[in-house]
Amino acid sequence: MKKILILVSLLLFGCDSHSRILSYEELVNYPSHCSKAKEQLAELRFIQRIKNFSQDPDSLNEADRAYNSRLKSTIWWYTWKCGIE
Amino acid sequence: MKYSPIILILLSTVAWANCSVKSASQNVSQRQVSSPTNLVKTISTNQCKVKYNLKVDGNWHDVEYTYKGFEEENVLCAKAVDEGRKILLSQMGGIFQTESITVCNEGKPVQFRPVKIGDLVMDNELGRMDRGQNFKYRNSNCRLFREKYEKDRIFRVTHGVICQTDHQEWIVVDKW
Repeated sequence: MKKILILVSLLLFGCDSHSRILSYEELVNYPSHCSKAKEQLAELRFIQRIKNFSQDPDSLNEADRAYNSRLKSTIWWYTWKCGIE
Repeated sequence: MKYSPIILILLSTVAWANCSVKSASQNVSQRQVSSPTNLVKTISTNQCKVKYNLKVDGNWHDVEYTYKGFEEENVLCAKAVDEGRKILLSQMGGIFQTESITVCNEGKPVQFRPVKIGDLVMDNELGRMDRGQNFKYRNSNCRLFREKYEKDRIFRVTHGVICQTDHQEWIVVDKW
């Protein structure tokens, strides 16, 4: 029982930022910065892989469409603003 | 008679090739254009008439345009505003650039809108976003675009990135 509790705790709280799915509000307020591009892009692309949204925005529901839009525009911000791909 | 099967094969190839030629002109002069102000919309059956003021290079102009169609009212009015602005700017002269692309697609009708990732488009086919300067992506000249259209009777606004290919066309590399 103790082992299970430890395992659940690790799963819930032991994950680093790269394995956390941000809420839409967190994405809106995402602290994008060119100097942190590498780690931030890794985090955002991880979310993109997990979410696995359709390439066609018209096929998404409103919530997913808004999330996908914010996620992609944040990712492209680094290319547009910092010249990082 | 010996050559007839070959001739038939060639003819069928020509018959099934569905080509579409897209060409468009755009005014490439750099003008300072404001957002529409004092916008008045008059909506009636299948049409929207707009009247508004537009500041171009420091001078105000009255614009009036009626757009007719079967779209929703907000789409009709958005199109009326866009078309009115286009006509005003085209009347002001400047340097025009014309581009054309011929796309052939065997056996299937060619559809251009709404664009999808991988589609080839012309630069002036997709609107620019407000913060519209170009940027480099994989050593290519790219820019953000905004596309407005109606789908399932809902007015949609999508954004994306297009990049210039070696052949003067632009390719849609992402869309959201």
